[in-house]
Amino acid sequence: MDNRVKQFIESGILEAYFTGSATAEEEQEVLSMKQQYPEVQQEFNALEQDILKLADLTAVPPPPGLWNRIEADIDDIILRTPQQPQPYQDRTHHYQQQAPPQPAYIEVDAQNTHMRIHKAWRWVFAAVFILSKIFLAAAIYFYLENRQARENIQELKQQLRQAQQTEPRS
Amino acid sequence: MKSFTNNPHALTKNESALRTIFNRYGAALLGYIAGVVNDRIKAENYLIEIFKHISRFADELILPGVNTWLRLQQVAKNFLYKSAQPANSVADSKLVSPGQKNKCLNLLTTEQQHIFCNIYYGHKSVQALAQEMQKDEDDIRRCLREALSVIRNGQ
Repeated sequence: MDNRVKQFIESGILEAYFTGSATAEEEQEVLSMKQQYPEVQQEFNALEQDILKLADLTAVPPPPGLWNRIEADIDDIILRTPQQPQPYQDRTHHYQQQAPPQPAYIEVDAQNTHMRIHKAWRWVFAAVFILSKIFLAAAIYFYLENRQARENIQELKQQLRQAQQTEPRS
Repeated sequence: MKSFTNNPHALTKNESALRTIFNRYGAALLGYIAGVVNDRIKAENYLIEIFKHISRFADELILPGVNTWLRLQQVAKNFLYKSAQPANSVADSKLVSPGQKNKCLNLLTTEQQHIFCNIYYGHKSVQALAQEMQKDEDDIRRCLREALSVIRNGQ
Protein backbone atom coordinates (compact mmCIF):
# COMPACT_ATOMS: atom_id res chain seq x y z
CA MET A 1 0.00 0.00 0.00
CA ASP A 2 1.19 3.48 -0.91
CA ASN A 3 2.68 5.31 2.09
CA ARG A 4 0.48 8.31 1.47
CA VAL A 5 -2.63 6.17 1.39
CA LYS A 6 -1.59 4.34 4.55
CA GLN A 7 -0.97 7.62 6.34
CA PHE A 8 -4.28 8.98 5.12
CA ILE A 9 -6.21 5.95 6.37
CA GLU A 10 -4.43 5.91 9.71
CA SER A 11 -4.82 9.65 10.25
CA GLY A 12 -8.44 9.21 11.33
CA ILE A 13 -9.84 11.63 8.74
CA LEU A 14 -12.23 8.97 7.48
CA GLU A 15 -13.55 8.46 11.01
CA ALA A 16 -13.91 12.23 11.40
CA TYR A 17 -15.87 12.27 8.13
CA PHE A 18 -18.27 9.60 9.31
CA THR A 19 -18.81 11.18 12.71
CA GLY A 20 -19.53 14.55 11.11
CA SER A 21 -16.52 16.31 12.60
CA ALA A 22 -14.47 16.76 9.44
CA THR A 23 -13.99 20.23 7.97
CA ALA A 24 -15.19 21.04 4.45
CA GLU A 25 -11.62 20.67 3.11
CA GLU A 26 -11.21 17.32 4.83
CA GLU A 27 -14.52 16.13 3.40
CA GLN A 28 -13.37 17.06 -0.09
CA GLU A 29 -10.07 15.30 0.52
CA VAL A 30 -11.88 12.13 1.65
CA LEU A 31 -14.10 12.11 -1.44
CA SER A 32 -11.16 12.76 -3.72
CA MET A 33 -8.95 10.08 -2.14
CA LYS A 34 -11.83 7.63 -2.27
CA GLN A 35 -12.11 8.13 -6.01
CA GLN A 36 -8.38 7.76 -6.57
CA TYR A 37 -7.42 4.86 -4.31
CA PRO A 38 -9.30 1.55 -4.01
CA GLU A 39 -7.80 0.99 -0.52
CA VAL A 40 -9.40 4.22 0.68
CA GLN A 41 -12.66 3.24 -1.00
CA GLN A 42 -12.51 -0.12 0.78
CA GLU A 43 -11.86 1.50 4.17
CA PHE A 44 -14.60 4.04 3.44
CA ASN A 45 -17.14 1.28 2.74
CA ALA A 46 -16.13 -0.65 5.86
CA LEU A 47 -16.51 2.43 8.03
CA GLU A 48 -19.87 3.20 6.45
CA GLN A 49 -21.06 -0.23 7.54
CA ASP A 50 -19.54 0.18 11.02
CA ILE A 51 -21.31 3.48 11.61
CA LEU A 52 -24.58 1.94 10.48
CA LYS A 53 -24.03 -1.05 12.77
CA LEU A 54 -23.30 1.33 15.65
CA ALA A 55 -26.51 3.21 14.89
CA ASP A 56 -28.47 -0.05 14.89
CA LEU A 57 -26.86 -1.14 18.15
CA THR A 58 -27.88 2.08 19.88
CA ALA A 59 -31.33 2.10 18.24
CA VAL A 60 -34.42 2.69 20.37
CA PRO A 61 -37.63 1.32 18.84
CA PRO A 62 -40.13 4.15 18.42
CA PRO A 63 -43.34 3.70 20.42
CA PRO A 64 -46.36 2.53 18.45
CA GLY A 65 -48.23 5.50 17.08
CA LEU A 66 -45.18 7.70 16.59
CA TRP A 67 -45.48 7.40 12.83
CA ASN A 68 -49.12 8.50 13.08
CA ARG A 69 -48.02 11.56 15.05
CA ILE A 70 -45.46 12.40 12.37
CA GLU A 71 -48.06 11.82 9.68
CA ALA A 72 -50.61 14.01 11.43
CA ASP A 73 -48.08 16.82 11.89
CA ILE A 74 -46.96 16.62 8.28
CA ASP A 75 -50.56 16.68 7.07
CA ASP A 76 -50.81 20.18 8.50
CA ILE A 77 -48.00 21.39 6.27
CA ILE A 78 -49.35 22.32 2.88
CA LEU A 79 -46.73 23.88 0.71
CA ARG A 80 -47.87 26.06 -2.11
CA THR A 81 -46.02 26.36 -5.43
CA PRO A 82 -44.26 29.72 -5.61
CA GLN A 83 -46.29 32.15 -7.67
CA GLN A 84 -44.59 34.42 -10.14
CA PRO A 85 -45.82 38.03 -10.24
CA GLN A 86 -48.04 38.59 -13.25
CA PRO A 87 -47.95 41.77 -15.32
CA TYR A 88 -50.83 44.13 -14.54
CA GLN A 89 -53.95 43.69 -16.64
CA ASP A 90 -57.06 45.78 -16.44
CA ARG A 91 -59.77 43.22 -15.76
CA THR A 92 -62.54 45.54 -14.65
CA HIS A 93 -64.49 44.91 -17.87
CA HIS A 94 -64.19 41.17 -17.65
CA TYR A 95 -64.92 40.44 -14.04
CA GLN A 96 -68.60 39.79 -14.67
CA GLN A 97 -67.78 37.14 -17.26
CA GLN A 98 -65.37 35.32 -15.04
CA ALA A 99 -66.21 32.04 -13.41
CA PRO A 100 -67.73 32.19 -9.92
CA PRO A 101 -65.13 32.47 -7.13
CA GLN A 102 -63.60 29.22 -5.95
CA PRO A 103 -64.07 28.15 -2.34
CA ALA A 104 -61.27 29.19 0.00
CA TYR A 105 -60.18 25.58 0.49
CA ILE A 106 -57.43 23.68 -1.26
CA GLU A 107 -58.67 20.59 -2.99
CA VAL A 108 -56.44 17.70 -2.06
CA ASP A 109 -56.86 14.51 -3.99
CA ALA A 110 -55.87 11.86 -1.50
CA GLN A 111 -57.33 9.10 0.58
CA ASN A 112 -57.87 10.02 4.18
CA THR A 113 -59.99 8.69 6.97
CA HIS A 114 -60.30 12.12 8.61
CA MET A 115 -62.41 15.09 7.66
CA ARG A 116 -62.08 18.78 8.37
CA ILE A 117 -64.94 21.02 9.34
CA HIS A 118 -65.31 24.71 10.10
CA LYS A 119 -64.45 25.82 13.63
CA ALA A 120 -67.96 27.32 14.08
CA TRP A 121 -69.30 23.78 14.35
CA ARG A 122 -67.68 23.37 17.75
CA TRP A 123 -70.44 25.58 19.29
CA VAL A 124 -73.07 23.36 17.68
CA PHE A 125 -71.35 20.28 19.05
CA ALA A 126 -71.08 21.90 22.48
CA ALA A 127 -74.81 22.77 22.41
CA VAL A 128 -75.71 19.22 21.33
CA PHE A 129 -73.52 17.84 24.09
CA ILE A 130 -75.14 20.08 26.77
CA LEU A 131 -78.65 19.30 25.49
CA SER A 132 -77.91 15.59 25.56
CA LYS A 133 -76.85 15.92 29.21
CA ILE A 134 -80.06 17.84 30.03
CA PHE A 135 -82.20 15.17 28.34
CA LEU A 136 -80.31 12.45 30.16
CA ALA A 137 -80.87 14.17 33.53
CA ALA A 138 -84.56 14.68 32.69
CA ALA A 139 -84.94 11.05 31.65
CA ILE A 140 -83.39 9.86 34.90
CA TYR A 141 -85.61 12.27 36.90
CA PHE A 142 -88.83 11.12 35.20
CA TYR A 143 -87.83 7.48 35.47
CA LEU A 144 -87.36 7.86 39.22
CA GLU A 145 -90.64 9.81 39.52
CA ASN A 146 -92.43 7.11 37.60
CA ARG A 147 -90.98 4.38 39.76
CA GLN A 148 -91.99 6.26 42.91
CA ALA A 149 -95.54 6.73 41.58
CA ARG A 150 -95.82 3.02 40.78
CA GLU A 151 -94.68 2.11 44.25
CA ASN A 152 -97.29 4.50 45.70
CA ILE A 153 -100.03 2.93 43.56
CA GLN A 154 -99.00 -0.55 44.66
CA GLU A 155 -99.05 0.59 48.28
CA LEU A 156 -102.52 2.15 47.88
CA LYS A 157 -103.84 -0.99 46.16
CA GLN A 158 -102.56 -3.08 49.01
CA GLN A 159 -104.15 -0.78 51.58
CA LEU A 160 -107.42 -0.95 49.62
CA ARG A 161 -107.34 -4.74 49.58
CA GLN A 162 -106.67 -4.84 53.30
CA ALA A 163 -109.55 -2.41 53.89
CA GLN A 164 -111.92 -4.53 51.78
CA GLN A 165 -110.93 -7.66 53.68
CA THR A 166 -111.51 -6.07 57.12
CA GLU A 167 -114.86 -4.39 56.18
CA PRO A 168 -117.09 -7.54 55.84
CA ARG A 169 -116.04 -8.77 59.30
CA SER A 170 -117.12 -5.50 60.91
CA MET B 1 -51.02 10.68 4.63
CA LYS B 2 -52.62 13.50 2.81
CA SER B 3 -50.35 16.25 1.65
CA PHE B 4 -46.79 17.53 1.75
CA THR B 5 -47.04 19.72 -1.26
CA ASN B 6 -49.52 20.39 -3.99
CA ASN B 7 -47.20 18.90 -6.59
CA PRO B 8 -48.64 15.38 -7.00
CA HIS B 9 -45.36 13.79 -8.16
CA ALA B 10 -43.36 15.25 -5.27
CA LEU B 11 -46.16 14.19 -2.95
CA THR B 12 -45.97 10.53 -3.87
CA LYS B 13 -42.17 10.38 -3.93
CA ASN B 14 -41.76 12.17 -0.60
CA GLU B 15 -44.47 10.14 1.11
CA SER B 16 -42.96 6.80 0.26
CA ALA B 17 -39.39 8.04 0.81
CA LEU B 18 -40.26 9.33 4.25
CA ARG B 19 -41.96 6.10 5.19
CA THR B 20 -38.94 4.13 3.94
CA ILE B 21 -36.59 6.31 5.96
CA PHE B 22 -38.75 5.96 9.06
CA ASN B 23 -38.95 2.17 8.75
CA ARG B 24 -35.22 1.74 8.19
CA TYR B 25 -33.69 4.53 10.28
CA GLY B 26 -36.44 5.67 12.68
CA ALA B 27 -35.21 3.54 15.58
CA ALA B 28 -31.55 4.35 14.89
CA LEU B 29 -32.31 8.05 14.76
CA LEU B 30 -34.40 7.93 17.92
CA GLY B 31 -31.54 6.10 19.66
CA TYR B 32 -29.08 8.69 18.44
CA ILE B 33 -31.24 11.62 19.56
CA ALA B 34 -31.91 9.96 22.92
CA GLY B 35 -28.14 9.60 23.26
CA VAL B 36 -27.74 13.34 22.70
CA VAL B 37 -30.55 14.71 24.85
CA ASN B 38 -30.73 11.91 27.44
CA ASP B 39 -34.51 12.20 27.58
CA ARG B 40 -36.81 9.74 25.83
CA ILE B 41 -39.86 12.02 25.58
CA LYS B 42 -37.80 14.95 24.31
CA ALA B 43 -36.09 12.61 21.86
CA GLU B 44 -39.44 11.48 20.44
CA ASN B 45 -40.56 15.08 20.02
CA TYR B 46 -37.30 15.97 18.30
CA LEU B 47 -37.70 12.94 16.03
CA ILE B 48 -41.13 14.18 14.94
CA GLU B 49 -39.74 17.65 14.27
CA ILE B 50 -36.82 16.22 12.28
CA PHE B 51 -39.14 14.06 10.17
CA LYS B 52 -41.35 17.09 9.57
CA HIS B 53 -38.26 18.95 8.43
CA ILE B 54 -36.99 16.24 6.09
CA SER B 55 -40.44 15.58 4.63
CA ARG B 56 -39.71 18.31 2.06
CA PHE B 57 -36.68 16.58 0.62
CA ALA B 58 -37.04 12.97 1.78
CA ASP B 59 -36.72 11.58 -1.74
CA GLU B 60 -33.25 13.17 -2.05
CA LEU B 61 -32.05 11.25 1.00
CA ILE B 62 -32.59 7.86 -0.56
CA LEU B 63 -31.08 8.54 -3.96
CA PRO B 64 -28.47 6.01 -5.10
CA GLY B 65 -25.00 6.96 -3.89
CA VAL B 66 -26.31 9.01 -0.98
CA ASN B 67 -25.36 7.81 2.48
CA THR B 68 -28.80 8.16 4.01
CA TRP B 69 -27.74 7.57 7.58
CA LEU B 70 -24.91 10.11 7.37
CA ARG B 71 -27.24 12.73 5.88
CA LEU B 72 -29.88 12.01 8.53
CA GLN B 73 -27.31 12.32 11.25
CA GLN B 74 -26.12 15.65 9.86
CA VAL B 75 -29.68 16.95 9.72
CA ALA B 76 -30.32 15.73 13.26
CA LYS B 77 -27.10 17.26 14.58
CA ASN B 78 -27.82 20.62 13.00
CA PHE B 79 -31.41 20.51 14.15
CA LEU B 80 -30.59 19.53 17.71
CA TYR B 81 -27.75 22.00 17.95
CA LYS B 82 -29.98 24.86 16.75
CA SER B 83 -33.03 23.82 18.77
CA ALA B 84 -31.27 23.06 22.00
CA GLN B 85 -29.11 26.16 22.09
CA PRO B 86 -28.63 28.30 24.02
CA ALA B 87 -31.10 27.33 26.76
CA ASN B 88 -30.17 23.67 26.84
CA SER B 89 -26.85 23.21 25.14
CA VAL B 90 -26.45 19.82 23.50
CA ALA B 91 -22.73 20.26 23.82
CA ASP B 92 -23.13 20.45 27.58
CA SER B 93 -20.93 17.86 29.22
CA LYS B 94 -23.90 16.55 31.21
CA LEU B 95 -25.79 15.74 28.04
CA VAL B 96 -22.94 13.89 26.42
CA SER B 97 -21.79 12.08 29.49
CA PRO B 98 -20.14 8.84 28.44
CA GLY B 99 -20.97 5.43 29.74
CA GLN B 100 -24.73 5.86 29.68
CA LYS B 101 -25.39 5.39 26.01
CA ASN B 102 -24.77 1.76 25.40
CA LYS B 103 -22.58 -1.21 26.02
CA CYS B 104 -20.26 -0.23 23.15
CA LEU B 105 -19.02 2.81 25.02
CA ASN B 106 -18.05 0.75 28.03
CA LEU B 107 -15.41 -0.92 25.88
CA LEU B 108 -13.60 2.40 25.44
CA THR B 109 -11.07 4.08 27.68
CA THR B 110 -12.13 7.27 29.45
CA GLU B 111 -10.30 9.41 26.93
CA GLN B 112 -11.75 7.53 23.97
CA GLN B 113 -15.23 7.82 25.46
CA HIS B 114 -14.77 11.54 26.00
CA ILE B 115 -13.58 12.14 22.45
CA PHE B 116 -16.11 9.82 20.80
CA CYS B 117 -19.09 11.16 22.76
CA ASN B 118 -18.20 14.80 22.24
CA ILE B 119 -17.79 14.28 18.51
CA TYR B 120 -20.51 11.72 17.80
CA TYR B 121 -23.18 12.97 20.20
CA GLY B 122 -21.92 16.43 21.11
CA HIS B 123 -21.46 17.87 17.60
CA LYS B 124 -17.98 19.17 18.47
CA SER B 125 -15.36 19.64 15.80
CA VAL B 126 -11.96 17.99 16.07
CA GLN B 127 -10.42 21.45 16.24
CA ALA B 128 -12.66 22.60 19.13
CA LEU B 129 -12.08 19.40 21.05
CA ALA B 130 -8.33 19.58 20.50
CA GLN B 131 -8.29 23.10 21.91
CA GLU B 132 -10.46 22.08 24.83
CA MET B 133 -8.30 19.08 25.66
CA GLN B 134 -5.06 20.92 24.81
CA LYS B 135 -4.08 18.21 22.37
CA ASP B 136 -3.01 18.03 18.78
CA GLU B 137 -5.81 17.61 16.22
CA ASP B 138 -4.06 14.56 14.77
CA ASP B 139 -4.07 12.92 18.20
CA ILE B 140 -7.81 13.52 18.51
CA ARG B 141 -8.44 11.95 15.08
CA ARG B 142 -6.22 8.98 15.90
CA CYS B 143 -8.02 8.49 19.21
CA LEU B 144 -11.35 8.64 17.40
CA ARG B 145 -10.09 6.02 14.94
CA GLU B 146 -9.02 3.79 17.82
CA ALA B 147 -12.39 4.24 19.50
CA LEU B 148 -14.28 3.19 16.37
CA SER B 149 -11.89 0.28 15.90
CA VAL B 150 -12.58 -0.91 19.46
CA ILE B 151 -16.34 -0.60 18.91
CA ARG B 152 -16.03 -2.49 15.61
CA ASN B 153 -14.03 -5.34 17.14
CA GLY B 154 -16.09 -5.37 20.33
CA GLN B 155 -19.29 -6.03 18.42
